[in-house]
Amino acid sequence: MEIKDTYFNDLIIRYLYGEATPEDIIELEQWVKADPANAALFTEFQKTWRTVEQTRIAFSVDIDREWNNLASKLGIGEDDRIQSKIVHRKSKILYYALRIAAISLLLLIPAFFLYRNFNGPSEQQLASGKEISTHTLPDGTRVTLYANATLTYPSRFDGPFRKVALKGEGWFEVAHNKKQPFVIAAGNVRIRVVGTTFSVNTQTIQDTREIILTSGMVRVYYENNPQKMALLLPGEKAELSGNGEEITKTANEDVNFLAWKTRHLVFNNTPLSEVAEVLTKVYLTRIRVYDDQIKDCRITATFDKQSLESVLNVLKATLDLRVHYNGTGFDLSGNGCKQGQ
Amino acid sequence: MLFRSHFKGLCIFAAGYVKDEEAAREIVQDTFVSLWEKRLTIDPSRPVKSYLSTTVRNKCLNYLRDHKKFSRDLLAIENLSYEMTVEQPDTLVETELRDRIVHAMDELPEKCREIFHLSRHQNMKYLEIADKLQISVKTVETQMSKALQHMRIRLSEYLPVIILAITLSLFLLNASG
Repeated sequence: MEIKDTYFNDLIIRYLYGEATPEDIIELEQWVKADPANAALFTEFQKTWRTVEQTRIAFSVDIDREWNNLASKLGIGEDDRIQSKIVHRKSKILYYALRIAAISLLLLIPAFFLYRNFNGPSEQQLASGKEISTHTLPDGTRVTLYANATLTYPSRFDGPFRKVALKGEGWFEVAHNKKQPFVIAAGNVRIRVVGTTFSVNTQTIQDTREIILTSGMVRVYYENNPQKMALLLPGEKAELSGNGEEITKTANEDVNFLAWKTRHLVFNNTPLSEVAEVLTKVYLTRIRVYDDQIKDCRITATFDKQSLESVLNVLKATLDLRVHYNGTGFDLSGNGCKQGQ
Repeated sequence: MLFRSHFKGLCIFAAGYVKDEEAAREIVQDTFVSLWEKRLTIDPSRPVKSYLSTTVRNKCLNYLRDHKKFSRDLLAIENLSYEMTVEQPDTLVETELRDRIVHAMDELPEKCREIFHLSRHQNMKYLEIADKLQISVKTVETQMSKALQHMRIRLSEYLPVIILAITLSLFLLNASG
Protein backbone atom coordinates (compact mmCIF):
# COMPACT_ATOMS: atom_id res chain seq x y z
CA MET A 1 0.00 0.00 0.00
CA GLU A 2 2.78 2.34 1.03
CA ILE A 3 4.75 1.67 -2.12
CA LYS A 4 1.74 2.22 -4.29
CA ASP A 5 1.04 5.60 -2.62
CA THR A 6 4.53 6.86 -3.30
CA TYR A 7 4.29 5.61 -6.84
CA PHE A 8 1.29 7.77 -7.66
CA ASN A 9 2.56 10.72 -5.66
CA ASP A 10 5.70 10.63 -7.74
CA LEU A 11 3.64 10.33 -10.86
CA ILE A 12 1.55 13.40 -9.99
CA ILE A 13 4.66 15.38 -9.19
CA ARG A 14 6.37 14.26 -12.38
CA TYR A 15 3.36 15.54 -14.25
CA LEU A 16 3.34 18.88 -12.43
CA TYR A 17 7.02 19.45 -13.03
CA GLY A 18 6.76 18.63 -16.71
CA GLU A 19 8.74 15.42 -16.39
CA ALA A 20 5.95 13.04 -17.28
CA THR A 21 6.20 10.96 -20.44
CA PRO A 22 3.12 10.55 -22.66
CA GLU A 23 2.67 7.09 -21.10
CA ASP A 24 2.84 8.60 -17.62
CA ILE A 25 0.09 11.01 -18.54
CA ILE A 26 -2.21 8.28 -19.79
CA GLU A 27 -1.59 6.31 -16.62
CA LEU A 28 -2.20 9.32 -14.41
CA GLU A 29 -5.37 10.17 -16.26
CA GLN A 30 -6.74 6.69 -15.73
CA TRP A 31 -5.76 6.65 -12.09
CA VAL A 32 -7.40 10.02 -11.43
CA LYS A 33 -10.61 8.90 -13.15
CA ALA A 34 -10.69 5.63 -11.25
CA ASP A 35 -11.52 7.10 -7.87
CA PRO A 36 -12.72 10.51 -6.64
CA ALA A 37 -10.23 10.20 -3.78
CA ASN A 38 -7.43 10.00 -6.33
CA ALA A 39 -8.75 13.08 -8.08
CA ALA A 40 -8.90 14.89 -4.76
CA LEU A 41 -5.27 14.05 -4.01
CA PHE A 42 -4.28 15.17 -7.48
CA THR A 43 -6.16 18.45 -7.01
CA GLU A 44 -4.50 19.07 -3.69
CA PHE A 45 -1.03 18.58 -5.13
CA GLN A 46 -1.91 20.66 -8.14
CA LYS A 47 -3.11 23.53 -5.96
CA THR A 48 0.01 23.46 -3.86
CA TRP A 49 2.11 23.34 -6.98
CA ARG A 50 0.20 26.25 -8.48
CA THR A 51 0.55 28.34 -5.34
CA VAL A 52 4.27 27.77 -5.16
CA GLU A 53 4.85 28.28 -8.90
CA GLN A 54 2.64 31.34 -9.07
CA THR A 55 4.60 33.01 -6.31
CA ARG A 56 7.91 31.89 -7.74
CA ILE A 57 7.25 33.00 -11.31
CA ALA A 58 5.83 36.33 -10.13
CA PHE A 59 9.17 37.06 -8.53
CA SER A 60 11.49 35.39 -11.01
CA VAL A 61 10.32 36.86 -14.32
CA ASP A 62 12.54 39.75 -15.33
CA ILE A 63 10.07 42.00 -17.09
CA ASP A 64 12.69 44.35 -18.56
CA ARG A 65 14.64 41.51 -20.09
CA GLU A 66 11.44 40.04 -21.51
CA TRP A 67 10.49 43.38 -22.96
CA ASN A 68 13.87 43.78 -24.64
CA ASN A 69 13.53 40.27 -25.92
CA LEU A 70 10.17 41.06 -27.47
CA ALA A 71 11.36 44.41 -28.76
CA SER A 72 14.22 42.74 -30.60
CA LYS A 73 11.82 40.17 -32.10
CA LEU A 74 9.66 42.97 -33.41
CA GLY A 75 12.63 45.05 -34.52
CA ILE A 76 11.52 47.88 -32.31
CA GLY A 77 14.19 50.28 -31.15
CA GLU A 78 16.18 50.10 -34.39
CA ASP A 79 13.74 52.14 -36.36
CA ASP A 80 12.54 55.32 -34.81
CA ARG A 81 9.63 55.61 -37.22
CA ILE A 82 8.19 52.33 -36.07
CA GLN A 83 8.74 53.40 -32.52
CA SER A 84 6.64 56.49 -33.04
CA LYS A 85 3.97 54.35 -34.65
CA ILE A 86 3.83 52.14 -31.60
CA VAL A 87 3.40 55.16 -29.44
CA HIS A 88 0.53 56.16 -31.64
CA ARG A 89 -1.00 52.70 -31.57
CA LYS A 90 -0.67 52.60 -27.86
CA SER A 91 -2.08 56.06 -27.34
CA LYS A 92 -5.50 54.65 -26.55
CA ILE A 93 -4.03 52.46 -23.85
CA LEU A 94 -2.00 55.41 -22.68
CA TYR A 95 -5.14 57.47 -22.53
CA TYR A 96 -6.79 54.96 -20.22
CA ALA A 97 -3.66 54.67 -18.15
CA LEU A 98 -3.59 58.42 -17.73
CA ARG A 99 -7.20 58.40 -16.73
CA ILE A 100 -6.53 55.77 -14.10
CA ALA A 101 -3.56 57.77 -12.89
CA ALA A 102 -5.65 60.90 -12.66
CA ILE A 103 -8.39 59.13 -10.72
CA SER A 104 -5.85 57.59 -8.35
CA LEU A 105 -4.38 61.02 -7.82
CA LEU A 106 -7.80 62.44 -7.04
CA LEU A 107 -8.27 59.67 -4.51
CA LEU A 108 -4.81 60.15 -3.08
CA ILE A 109 -5.12 63.86 -2.44
CA PRO A 110 -7.86 63.60 0.22
CA ALA A 111 -6.02 60.64 1.74
CA PHE A 112 -2.96 62.79 1.96
CA PHE A 113 -4.87 65.56 3.68
CA LEU A 114 -6.43 63.13 6.10
CA TYR A 115 -2.98 61.96 6.90
CA ARG A 116 -1.82 65.56 7.30
CA ASN A 117 -4.76 66.13 9.55
CA PHE A 118 -3.48 63.43 11.83
CA ASN A 119 -0.10 65.09 12.14
CA GLY A 120 -1.43 68.61 11.84
CA PRO A 121 -3.25 71.11 14.03
CA SER A 122 -6.01 68.81 15.25
CA GLU A 123 -3.48 66.55 16.89
CA GLN A 124 -4.12 66.06 20.58
CA GLN A 125 -1.68 64.96 23.18
CA LEU A 126 -2.17 63.40 26.57
CA ALA A 127 0.74 63.30 28.97
CA SER A 128 0.42 61.52 32.28
CA GLY A 129 3.34 63.23 34.01
CA LYS A 130 4.10 61.72 37.39
CA GLU A 131 0.71 60.12 37.86
CA ILE A 132 -1.45 57.45 36.37
CA SER A 133 -4.36 58.86 34.42
CA THR A 134 -7.36 57.52 32.53
CA HIS A 135 -8.86 59.14 29.44
CA THR A 136 -11.62 58.55 26.95
CA LEU A 137 -10.83 59.10 23.27
CA PRO A 138 -13.34 60.50 20.71
CA ASP A 139 -14.38 56.98 19.65
CA GLY A 140 -15.08 55.82 23.22
CA THR A 141 -11.83 53.93 23.62
CA ARG A 142 -10.52 54.15 27.16
CA VAL A 143 -6.83 54.56 27.78
CA THR A 144 -4.99 54.44 31.07
CA LEU A 145 -1.52 55.89 30.90
CA TYR A 146 1.18 54.94 33.31
CA ALA A 147 3.47 57.71 34.62
CA ASN A 148 5.61 59.50 32.03
CA ALA A 149 3.61 58.22 29.10
CA THR A 150 2.23 60.27 26.25
CA LEU A 151 -0.51 59.47 23.80
CA THR A 152 -0.99 61.37 20.57
CA TYR A 153 -4.34 61.08 18.80
CA PRO A 154 -6.48 63.10 16.40
CA SER A 155 -9.40 65.14 17.66
CA ARG A 156 -11.55 63.25 15.19
CA PHE A 157 -10.99 59.75 13.83
CA ASP A 158 -11.24 60.12 10.06
CA GLY A 159 -9.94 57.77 7.43
CA PRO A 160 -9.73 54.02 7.38
CA PHE A 161 -7.92 53.63 10.69
CA ARG A 162 -8.13 55.03 14.17
CA LYS A 163 -4.48 55.78 14.61
CA VAL A 164 -2.80 56.81 17.83
CA ALA A 165 0.82 56.97 18.94
CA LEU A 166 2.03 55.84 22.34
CA LYS A 167 5.22 56.55 24.23
CA GLY A 168 5.63 54.79 27.53
CA GLU A 169 3.18 52.33 29.00
CA GLY A 170 -0.55 52.25 28.60
CA TRP A 171 -3.65 50.12 28.97
CA PHE A 172 -6.26 50.19 26.23
CA GLU A 173 -9.89 49.22 26.19
CA VAL A 174 -10.64 49.71 22.53
CA ALA A 175 -14.18 50.58 21.47
CA HIS A 176 -15.51 48.07 18.98
CA ASN A 177 -15.59 49.24 15.38
CA LYS A 178 -14.82 46.60 12.80
CA LYS A 179 -14.91 49.06 9.93
CA GLN A 180 -12.26 51.31 11.36
CA PRO A 181 -9.50 49.26 12.99
CA PHE A 182 -7.58 50.80 15.83
CA VAL A 183 -3.85 51.09 15.20
CA ILE A 184 -1.32 52.01 17.84
CA ALA A 185 2.08 53.21 16.74
CA ALA A 186 4.77 52.49 19.29
CA GLY A 187 8.04 53.51 17.66
CA ASN A 188 8.48 51.22 14.68
CA VAL A 189 5.93 48.76 16.02
CA ARG A 190 2.29 48.73 15.02
CA ILE A 191 -0.51 47.09 16.94
CA ARG A 192 -3.69 46.61 15.01
CA VAL A 193 -6.89 45.72 16.79
CA VAL A 194 -10.57 45.60 16.20
CA GLY A 195 -11.91 45.87 19.70
CA THR A 196 -10.16 44.43 22.67
CA THR A 197 -8.27 45.10 25.89
CA PHE A 198 -4.54 44.97 26.28
CA SER A 199 -1.52 46.67 27.73
CA VAL A 200 1.41 48.09 25.82
CA ASN A 201 4.78 48.95 27.22
CA THR A 202 7.10 50.76 24.87
CA GLN A 203 9.86 51.27 27.40
CA THR A 204 11.16 48.05 28.80
CA ILE A 205 14.67 47.74 30.19
CA GLN A 206 15.81 45.63 27.23
CA ASP A 207 14.53 48.23 24.73
CA THR A 208 11.75 46.01 23.53
CA ARG A 209 8.07 46.75 23.03
CA GLU A 210 5.83 44.58 25.09
CA ILE A 211 2.19 43.85 24.40
CA ILE A 212 0.03 41.75 26.69
CA LEU A 213 -3.45 40.87 25.55
CA THR A 214 -6.37 40.29 27.91
CA SER A 215 -9.25 39.85 25.52
CA GLY A 216 -9.97 39.88 21.80
CA MET A 217 -7.25 39.56 19.20
CA VAL A 218 -4.52 41.88 18.00
CA ARG A 219 -1.95 41.83 15.27
CA VAL A 220 1.49 43.25 15.99
CA TYR A 221 3.97 44.07 13.26
CA TYR A 222 6.77 46.38 12.26
CA GLU A 223 5.80 49.52 10.39
CA ASN A 224 8.29 49.08 7.57
CA ASN A 225 8.03 45.31 7.48
CA PRO A 226 4.35 44.40 7.86
CA GLN A 227 4.86 40.80 6.79
CA LYS A 228 6.85 40.29 9.96
CA MET A 229 3.93 39.97 12.31
CA ALA A 230 2.39 37.99 15.11
CA LEU A 231 -1.18 37.35 16.05
CA LEU A 232 -1.87 37.57 19.77
CA LEU A 233 -4.57 35.72 21.63
CA PRO A 234 -5.76 36.47 25.16
CA GLY A 235 -3.14 35.71 27.79
CA GLU A 236 -0.30 35.99 25.33
CA LYS A 237 2.55 38.40 25.39
CA ALA A 238 4.56 39.67 22.44
CA GLU A 239 7.96 41.24 22.73
CA LEU A 240 9.33 43.16 19.78
CA SER A 241 12.96 44.15 19.62
CA GLY A 242 13.74 47.81 19.04
CA ASN A 243 15.78 47.06 15.92
CA GLY A 244 12.72 45.83 14.06
CA GLU A 245 13.84 42.26 13.59
CA GLU A 246 12.40 40.04 16.23
CA ILE A 247 8.98 39.19 17.55
CA THR A 248 8.79 36.78 20.46
CA LYS A 249 5.48 35.41 21.57
CA THR A 250 5.07 33.79 24.97
CA ALA A 251 2.36 33.08 27.49
CA ASN A 252 2.16 35.96 29.94
CA GLU A 253 3.18 34.77 33.39
CA ASP A 254 3.22 38.08 35.18
CA VAL A 255 -0.03 38.27 37.14
CA ASN A 256 0.77 41.81 38.27
CA PHE A 257 1.35 43.26 34.82
CA LEU A 258 -1.67 45.49 35.16
CA ALA A 259 -1.49 46.16 38.90
CA TRP A 260 -0.39 49.73 38.26
CA LYS A 261 -3.90 50.31 36.97
CA THR A 262 -5.99 47.94 39.06
CA ARG A 263 -3.99 48.09 42.29
CA HIS A 264 -4.78 44.43 42.60
CA LEU A 265 -1.61 42.65 43.66
CA VAL A 266 -1.03 38.94 43.90
CA PHE A 267 2.12 37.52 45.43
CA ASN A 268 2.64 33.81 45.57
CA ASN A 269 5.83 32.80 47.30
CA THR A 270 7.42 35.87 45.71
CA PRO A 271 10.84 37.04 46.92
CA LEU A 272 10.83 40.37 48.71
CA SER A 273 13.18 41.92 46.14
CA GLU A 274 10.60 41.29 43.44
CA VAL A 275 7.75 42.51 45.63
CA ALA A 276 9.66 45.76 46.15
CA GLU A 277 10.04 46.21 42.37
CA VAL A 278 6.33 45.65 41.78
CA LEU A 279 5.37 48.05 44.59
CA THR A 280 7.75 50.69 43.23
CA LYS A 281 6.05 50.49 39.87
CA VAL A 282 2.47 50.35 41.13
CA TYR A 283 2.72 53.05 43.80
CA LEU A 284 5.23 55.22 41.93
CA THR A 285 7.30 55.35 45.10
CA ARG A 286 10.73 53.85 45.41
CA ILE A 287 10.75 50.82 47.74
CA ARG A 288 14.23 49.57 48.45
CA VAL A 289 15.35 46.37 50.18
CA TYR A 290 18.11 47.65 52.34
CA ASP A 291 19.47 44.43 53.89
CA ASP A 292 20.65 41.60 51.63
CA GLN A 293 19.59 38.94 54.14
CA ILE A 294 15.90 39.74 53.63
CA LYS A 295 15.94 39.88 49.80
CA ASP A 296 14.88 36.27 49.46
CA CYS A 297 12.17 36.32 52.11
CA ARG A 298 9.04 34.93 50.49
CA ILE A 299 5.65 36.54 50.49
CA THR A 300 2.28 35.06 49.72
CA ALA A 301 -0.48 37.63 49.88
CA THR A 302 -3.20 39.34 47.88
CA PHE A 303 -3.86 43.05 48.13
CA ASP A 304 -6.85 44.69 46.57
CA LYS A 305 -6.85 48.47 46.24
CA GLN A 306 -4.84 48.93 49.41
CA SER A 307 -2.79 52.00 50.15
CA LEU A 308 0.97 51.64 50.10
CA GLU A 309 1.05 52.20 53.84
CA SER A 310 -1.24 49.30 54.58
CA VAL A 311 0.69 47.01 52.20
CA LEU A 312 3.93 47.94 53.91
CA ASN A 313 2.33 47.35 57.31
CA VAL A 314 1.37 43.83 56.32
CA LEU A 315 4.91 43.13 55.08
CA LYS A 316 6.33 44.61 58.25
CA ALA A 317 4.20 42.37 60.44
CA THR A 318 4.67 39.14 58.54
CA LEU A 319 8.42 39.39 57.96
CA ASP A 320 9.29 41.38 61.06
CA LEU A 321 10.76 44.24 59.01
CA ARG A 322 11.68 47.77 59.83
CA VAL A 323 10.30 50.37 57.40
CA HIS A 324 12.07 53.67 57.14
CA TYR A 325 10.96 56.66 55.07
CA ASN A 326 14.02 58.30 53.54
CA GLY A 327 12.45 61.39 51.97
CA THR A 328 11.72 59.93 48.51
CA GLY A 329 10.80 56.35 49.30
CA PHE A 330 10.90 53.55 51.80
CA ASP A 331 13.82 51.39 52.90
CA LEU A 332 13.09 47.93 54.22
CA SER A 333 15.46 46.29 56.64
CA GLY A 334 15.39 43.31 58.95
CA ASN A 335 17.32 40.37 60.33
CA GLY A 336 16.24 37.82 57.78
CA CYS A 337 13.51 35.27 58.07
CA LYS A 338 13.25 31.66 59.11
CA GLN A 339 12.06 30.15 55.90
CA GLY A 340 12.78 27.45 53.43
CA GLN A 341 9.69 25.33 53.77
CA MET B 1 2.03 49.18 -20.56
CA LEU B 2 -0.06 46.27 -21.74
CA PHE B 3 3.03 44.11 -21.76
CA ARG B 4 4.05 45.03 -18.27
CA SER B 5 0.65 44.51 -16.73
CA HIS B 6 -0.03 41.17 -18.39
CA PHE B 7 3.25 39.40 -19.02
CA LYS B 8 3.75 37.83 -15.61
CA GLY B 9 0.13 36.86 -15.20
CA LEU B 10 0.10 35.23 -18.63
CA CYS B 11 3.33 33.37 -17.86
CA ILE B 12 1.80 31.95 -14.71
CA PHE B 13 -1.33 31.07 -16.67
CA ALA B 14 0.69 29.34 -19.40
CA ALA B 15 2.92 27.55 -16.89
CA GLY B 16 -0.24 26.06 -15.40
CA TYR B 17 -0.74 24.27 -18.71
CA VAL B 18 2.69 23.44 -20.01
CA LYS B 19 4.41 22.85 -16.65
CA ASP B 20 7.59 24.40 -17.94
CA GLU B 21 8.51 27.98 -17.25
CA GLU B 22 10.72 28.48 -20.28
CA ALA B 23 8.12 27.12 -22.65
CA ALA B 24 5.52 29.30 -20.93
CA ARG B 25 7.61 32.42 -21.42
CA GLU B 26 8.14 31.62 -25.07
CA ILE B 27 4.45 31.07 -25.62
CA VAL B 28 3.62 34.42 -24.05
CA GLN B 29 6.33 36.14 -26.09
CA ASP B 30 4.88 34.60 -29.24
CA THR B 31 1.44 35.77 -28.23
CA PHE B 32 2.61 39.35 -27.98
CA VAL B 33 4.37 39.02 -31.34
CA SER B 34 1.16 37.80 -32.95
CA LEU B 35 -0.80 40.56 -31.25
CA TRP B 36 1.56 43.03 -32.86
CA GLU B 37 1.35 41.38 -36.24
CA LYS B 38 -2.42 41.26 -36.19
CA ARG B 39 -2.84 44.70 -34.73
CA LEU B 40 -4.75 45.93 -37.74
CA THR B 41 -7.11 42.99 -38.06
CA ILE B 42 -8.05 42.40 -34.44
CA ASP B 43 -11.60 43.24 -33.52
CA PRO B 44 -11.12 46.36 -31.42
CA SER B 45 -14.39 45.93 -29.56
CA ARG B 46 -13.11 42.80 -27.82
CA PRO B 47 -10.94 43.39 -24.77
CA VAL B 48 -7.25 42.82 -25.42
CA LYS B 49 -7.04 40.80 -22.24
CA SER B 50 -9.34 38.11 -23.57
CA TYR B 51 -7.48 38.05 -26.89
CA LEU B 52 -4.24 37.50 -25.01
CA SER B 53 -5.55 34.81 -22.70
CA THR B 54 -7.33 32.93 -25.49
CA THR B 55 -4.24 32.98 -27.68
CA VAL B 56 -2.02 31.83 -24.82
CA ARG B 57 -4.40 29.01 -24.02
CA ASN B 58 -4.57 27.82 -27.63
CA LYS B 59 -0.81 27.93 -27.95
CA CYS B 60 -0.48 25.96 -24.73
CA LEU B 61 -2.90 23.30 -25.92
CA ASN B 62 -0.98 23.05 -29.20
CA TYR B 63 2.23 22.68 -27.26
CA LEU B 64 0.79 19.91 -25.12
CA ARG B 65 -0.58 18.12 -28.19
CA ASP B 66 2.73 18.40 -30.04
CA HIS B 67 4.60 17.02 -27.05
CA LYS B 68 1.96 14.31 -26.58
CA LYS B 69 1.23 15.58 -23.12
CA PHE B 70 -2.34 16.53 -23.72
CA SER B 71 -4.92 15.17 -21.32
CA ARG B 72 -8.36 16.68 -21.47
CA ASP B 73 -9.44 15.06 -18.21
CA LEU B 74 -6.50 16.24 -16.18
CA LEU B 75 -6.83 19.76 -17.53
CA ALA B 76 -10.52 19.73 -16.67
CA ILE B 77 -9.67 18.91 -13.07
CA GLU B 78 -6.94 21.50 -12.96
CA ASN B 79 -9.52 24.11 -13.83
CA LEU B 80 -7.10 26.75 -15.07
CA SER B 81 -8.27 30.24 -15.79
CA TYR B 82 -6.54 33.48 -16.50
CA GLU B 83 -8.79 35.47 -14.18
CA MET B 84 -7.56 33.31 -11.38
CA THR B 85 -3.94 34.16 -11.93
CA VAL B 86 -4.34 37.89 -12.37
CA GLU B 87 -6.60 38.38 -9.41
CA GLN B 88 -4.28 39.46 -6.64
CA PRO B 89 -6.37 39.33 -3.54
CA ASP B 90 -4.30 40.94 -0.84
CA THR B 91 -0.69 42.01 -0.90
CA LEU B 92 -0.32 41.11 2.75
CA VAL B 93 -1.49 37.58 2.05
CA GLU B 94 0.82 37.49 -0.99
CA THR B 95 3.93 38.45 0.90
CA GLU B 96 2.93 36.28 3.80
CA LEU B 97 2.51 33.41 1.40
CA ARG B 98 5.92 34.03 -0.13
CA ASP B 99 7.46 34.10 3.35
CA ARG B 100 5.65 30.89 4.17
CA ILE B 101 7.05 29.23 1.05
CA VAL B 102 10.57 30.43 1.80
CA HIS B 103 10.13 29.19 5.35
CA ALA B 104 8.84 25.82 4.22
CA MET B 105 11.84 25.56 1.87
CA ASP B 106 14.20 26.27 4.73
CA GLU B 107 12.70 23.41 6.69
CA LEU B 108 13.56 20.90 3.98
CA PRO B 109 16.64 18.74 4.44
CA GLU B 110 19.74 20.18 2.74
CA LYS B 111 19.78 17.73 -0.16
CA CYS B 112 16.09 18.01 -0.81
CA ARG B 113 16.30 21.80 -0.83
CA GLU B 114 19.24 21.80 -3.20
CA ILE B 115 17.46 19.57 -5.66
CA PHE B 116 14.29 21.64 -5.42
CA HIS B 117 16.30 24.78 -5.97
CA LEU B 118 18.07 23.43 -9.03
CA SER B 119 14.78 22.33 -10.49
CA ARG B 120 12.75 25.45 -9.80
CA HIS B 121 15.26 28.26 -9.81
CA GLN B 122 17.79 26.95 -12.28
CA ASN B 123 15.15 25.40 -14.50
CA MET B 124 16.95 22.09 -14.63
CA LYS B 125 15.33 18.85 -15.66
CA TYR B 126 15.42 15.76 -13.43
CA LEU B 127 18.06 14.23 -15.68
CA GLU B 128 20.28 17.31 -15.61
CA ILE B 129 20.10 17.48 -11.83
CA ALA B 130 20.94 13.79 -11.54
CA ASP B 131 23.97 14.33 -13.80
CA LYS B 132 25.15 17.37 -11.93
CA LEU B 133 24.86 15.82 -8.48
CA GLN B 134 25.94 12.33 -9.57
CA ILE B 135 22.79 10.72 -8.24
CA SER B 136 20.05 8.68 -9.85
CA VAL B 137 17.00 10.21 -11.51
CA LYS B 138 14.92 8.17 -9.07
CA THR B 139 16.56 9.97 -6.14
CA VAL B 140 15.86 13.34 -7.73
CA GLU B 141 12.27 12.34 -8.19
CA THR B 142 11.89 11.13 -4.61
CA GLN B 143 13.33 14.37 -3.27
CA MET B 144 11.10 16.48 -5.49
CA SER B 145 8.07 14.56 -4.24
CA LYS B 146 9.22 15.08 -0.71
CA ALA B 147 9.59 18.80 -1.26
CA LEU B 148 6.12 19.28 -2.69
CA GLN B 149 4.49 17.09 -0.07
CA HIS B 150 6.13 19.19 2.58
CA MET B 151 4.81 22.34 0.91
CA ARG B 152 1.38 20.80 0.71
CA ILE B 153 1.30 20.36 4.48
CA ARG B 154 2.87 23.72 5.19
CA LEU B 155 0.64 25.70 2.88
CA SER B 156 -2.56 23.85 3.60
CA GLU B 157 -3.96 26.72 5.67
CA TYR B 158 -3.37 29.13 2.82
CA LEU B 159 -5.15 27.15 0.17
CA PRO B 160 -8.63 28.03 1.42
CA VAL B 161 -7.67 31.72 1.22
CA ILE B 162 -6.77 31.33 -2.39
CA ILE B 163 -9.86 29.38 -3.20
CA LEU B 164 -11.92 32.04 -1.47
CA ALA B 165 -10.24 34.74 -3.52
CA ILE B 166 -10.96 32.78 -6.66
CA THR B 167 -14.63 32.24 -5.93
CA LEU B 168 -14.90 35.87 -4.99
CA SER B 169 -13.38 37.00 -8.25
CA LEU B 170 -15.67 34.67 -10.18
CA PHE B 171 -18.59 36.10 -8.33
CA LEU B 172 -17.52 39.61 -9.25
CA LEU B 173 -17.19 38.60 -12.87
CA ASN B 174 -20.67 37.16 -12.87
CA ALA B 175 -22.04 40.23 -11.20
CA SER B 176 -20.46 42.57 -13.70
CA GLY B 177 -21.25 40.42 -16.71
